[in-house]
Amino acid sequence: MRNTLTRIAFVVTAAAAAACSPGTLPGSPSPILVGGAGGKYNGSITYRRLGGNYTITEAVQQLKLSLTLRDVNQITGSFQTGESSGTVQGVLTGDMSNGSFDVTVLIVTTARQGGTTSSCEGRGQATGILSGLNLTWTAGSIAYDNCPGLRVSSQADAIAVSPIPDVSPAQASLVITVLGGATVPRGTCAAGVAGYPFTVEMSETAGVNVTFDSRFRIEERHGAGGVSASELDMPFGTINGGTRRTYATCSPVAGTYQAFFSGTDARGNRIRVASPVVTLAP
Amino acid sequence: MTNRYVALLALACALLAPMPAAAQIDDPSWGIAGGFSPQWAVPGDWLAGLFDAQRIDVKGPEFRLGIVRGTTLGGEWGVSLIHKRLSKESTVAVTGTNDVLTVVANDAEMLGVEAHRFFPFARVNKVQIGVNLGGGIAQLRGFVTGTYVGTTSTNFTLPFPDAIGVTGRKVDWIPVGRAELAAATLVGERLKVRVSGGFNMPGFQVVSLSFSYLLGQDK
Repeated sequence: MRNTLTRIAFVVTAAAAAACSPGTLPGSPSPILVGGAGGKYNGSITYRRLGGNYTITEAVQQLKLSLTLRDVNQITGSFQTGESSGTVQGVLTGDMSNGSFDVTVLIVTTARQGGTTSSCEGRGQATGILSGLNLTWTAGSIAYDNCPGLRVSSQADAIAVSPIPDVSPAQASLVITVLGGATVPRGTCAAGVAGYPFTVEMSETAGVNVTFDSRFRIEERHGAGGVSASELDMPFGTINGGTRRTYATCSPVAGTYQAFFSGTDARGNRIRVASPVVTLAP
Repeated sequence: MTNRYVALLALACALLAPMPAAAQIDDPSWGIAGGFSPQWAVPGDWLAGLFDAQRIDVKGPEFRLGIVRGTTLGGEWGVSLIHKRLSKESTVAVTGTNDVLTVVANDAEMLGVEAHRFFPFARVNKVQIGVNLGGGIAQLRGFVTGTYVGTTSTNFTLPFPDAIGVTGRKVDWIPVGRAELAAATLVGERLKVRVSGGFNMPGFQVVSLSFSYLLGQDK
């Protein structure tokens, strides 16, 4: 009996040792896969001041960027660097492993002037390329409304470190998308007039309530004309964390449409987001 | 329209026709009350200022249900739950701080509580002529569509109070009230039917039909 138990213990010990030997562990980690519905990227970014009597940090800063692919070809995300943070909203051509994007960047940058440090709120367009794990981004000019004259450019390189976008629980994540995609074909407006009807969806994905500013901004381009901007009273004051709201829009003429929203979340963070530039196809 | 006048005339004849005396409830008694108004409406823009609106065209039916205390041949007072529905044709042009939001009622209503008192000042047989006064408060509920009309139109589906919120004011509750000229008659021993018309905040109504059924002991 004792011999039998000894033999069983030996066999179990040998099997356990074999199972735990380095030779049976996974030989190498699974490679990061990109090309799905988003990704988390780490890299570096540099800013260059183009104008204005402010100073900004122009040394290389660490970049953490998360991108999510939304309805059809819309891409949204958020980023953080040493002295800036912001959101991006735009459209993707191709896919997340082999494509390019054109996004609106809404950014808050720390800038200094005469010993005073300011949080400057800027806006610009950025284009980028996604190639395998690599991401590059170029923003030619970012202008800051509340820091007059300040304009910067930026250049970023990053590598995908996870296929799962990062969601910060510390602040609200407000995402603006256009149902059906950012290219709208000709259809019929509510009054039966021919036009370009589309629905804009606002969703909060981090579970944090957002209180909107009293107005939101719409920028439109009709035909060959320039961009016309208008500010409308925000018809609802808040969006609860984890919920979504929609509104319907219809333009009788072809062109582009983009909406900008701002507010403050329940944790006191300033929130600024935009819809992608909606193309009202001729 | 002719049919409506004929129906009102027939109802008036029925109310004013002499009736045999029946048992009465002379001591104040509790009872149940209800009512229906086929349409109340806010005419013109006379209440526009109250809601910071450029234009108000709101109408809809009203239902009431509650308790009442009174006598069969005297006055009465009561408290009722009131429900005023806004028809889908109801529109309000709300003046915001920057724009005008045109609001169309999709599924909007006012739900509230109102106390009323009927004061009879004349009696012809079993018909009482008097005034019905009331006041209370109602909550704005349901959803509306708010539209910014421009080259590009923008439509929001909103909770009813939010639509008024573009004025910068939060309005969840509004006062309600009534001041109506009324005629009431006893049908049977306990049922009192009243026809009235007049002011019905936030509008007016041409006709409203009410009933009260007293539960007390006959004498």
